[in-house]
Amino acid sequence: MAIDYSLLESMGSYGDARRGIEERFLTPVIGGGRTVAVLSTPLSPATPMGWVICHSFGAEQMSLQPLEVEMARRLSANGFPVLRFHAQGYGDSDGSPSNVTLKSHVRDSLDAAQVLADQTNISTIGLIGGRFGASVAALAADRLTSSALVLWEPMLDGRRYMQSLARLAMGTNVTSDVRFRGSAQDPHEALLENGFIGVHGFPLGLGVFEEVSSFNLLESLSAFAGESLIIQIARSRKPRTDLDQLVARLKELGGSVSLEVVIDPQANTFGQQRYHEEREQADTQATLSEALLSVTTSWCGSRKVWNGQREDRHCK
Amino acid sequence: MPFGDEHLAAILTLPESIPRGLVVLLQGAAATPRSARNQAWTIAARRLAAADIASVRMDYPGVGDSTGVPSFEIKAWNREQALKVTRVALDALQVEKFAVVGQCIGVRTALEVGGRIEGCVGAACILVWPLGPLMEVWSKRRFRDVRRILAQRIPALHRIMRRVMGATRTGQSLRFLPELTQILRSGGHVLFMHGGPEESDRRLRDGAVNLMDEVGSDAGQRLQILPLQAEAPYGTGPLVAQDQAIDAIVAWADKTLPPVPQTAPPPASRPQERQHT
Repeated sequence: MAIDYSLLESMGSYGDARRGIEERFLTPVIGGGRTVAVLSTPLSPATPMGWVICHSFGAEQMSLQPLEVEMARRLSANGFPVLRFHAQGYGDSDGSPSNVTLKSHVRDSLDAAQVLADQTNISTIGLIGGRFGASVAALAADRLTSSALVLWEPMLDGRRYMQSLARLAMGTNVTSDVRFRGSAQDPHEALLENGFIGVHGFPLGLGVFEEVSSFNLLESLSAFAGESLIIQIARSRKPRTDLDQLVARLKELGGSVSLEVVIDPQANTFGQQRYHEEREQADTQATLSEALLSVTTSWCGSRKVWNGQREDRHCK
Repeated sequence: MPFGDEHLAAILTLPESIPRGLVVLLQGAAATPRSARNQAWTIAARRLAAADIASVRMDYPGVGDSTGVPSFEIKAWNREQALKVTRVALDALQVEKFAVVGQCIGVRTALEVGGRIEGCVGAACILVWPLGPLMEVWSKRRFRDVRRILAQRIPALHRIMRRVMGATRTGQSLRFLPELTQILRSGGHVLFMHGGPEESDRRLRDGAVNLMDEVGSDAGQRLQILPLQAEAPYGTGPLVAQDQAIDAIVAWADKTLPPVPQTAPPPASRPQERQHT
């Protein structure tokens, strides 16, 4: 009896002539362990600029995945090689969720950038992320001194972010996770008492809670001087002081920044589950996602570089 | 793998030795990818591999790395896609025996896969709360329609039925999908993991008793019901429930699949799949 490895290997990639892209599964070593990544490349000659998509934290990684996958495919269709991957502790990686930290996310994103460079002929790398993933992308770009950065509703204040996760835990199953181990009802108390709480089926440990709670993106950026697109996702055009401060900081470092606002009634749900059983599995973020994809694709497309020359056109 | 104009992403986890069989892991809805929430399927797959059992997990259309548009049609939910992935995995591994594991709406898909492909030796059904995925949709909807018509035409009879239904709570009789009966009749094993409230649990157990009466008393040795710690009707609930499910699936699959590898005939001469209308 022999396993038909040739059959399996034949299905490790596929080409989509309609979209003009190819996607290939990779199993690189990232963050010291094996994981799975998908490399999306155009069927036509690729630009020398590639993108790495840095996923978000915990349940947000799952919620934002459809958006990130479609982003990768659209960018590829526009000529860019794009890598998306599972950081250690997520998806098909070797690592354990209990070892996930902000630092591990950044480490793995840096390794992913190297994987992209090794697999393609790119000379410049951009990074993309949403929410927590946006901060990861920014930190990785800062370390890589990469050329471009796209931030969807970035996490600027880690304390506020962690508090919002803790509030989500209160609304889900935190009481069940702690019932058998202690008497705490407040999520933070539960963290102190039990070392973790469950947030939408993902563990939030005390270590990463404290690590991220002390994080401030403005204070953490020190070197990134490339081009960046920051997208504020909101229900109104009311300016946000913290994003204005981020713009100022990036400019101070020598970069150029575009700040766009995507208005959508579902803005407050960005990063949360998009399909709801109570609403017959309606995609509650369809228009929001399309707006993000459109703005991002257009901006990235205007940054394509061929033979050292910027390509001055906007793509769909 | 290609599926019509689209492509399905799947991961096959192989033991280092020749696999004893294959477990097909099918998660629920809400756009859950192939690893399931918190790597539950990934962890289960690796523990199965440690027991010399191969496994396959997939992204449904429009989810994870699969292309296409997500579908949430409860009837035949992603059935054809799951059948394709299972057939490819069985052909590639050249194993004869497999088991299916479904969670929530994935239970329905798992049972349909198990009922349509020869060689299914068991079905594990993880139901956080609602029993709907196990049930024939017909019985629930048809009865509800009858009650509505009675309410309109014969109010007195309807009032009587309400009193009776209210007392016995048989408004939603538990008629299992026929594939469940079929798997048990053919000597297969069934595991239910259920986290619903007491009333729901009672209905499940009553249904299981009826099932054993239908199939034969020896089915009792092959049908197991385990509690699952859940708090809400949807999702995988608390982390402890995930651990429970993984432990139970691995132990059950280890017991259910043959202890030694059993080679399947080459794909061309494989027995015809069972067809269901």
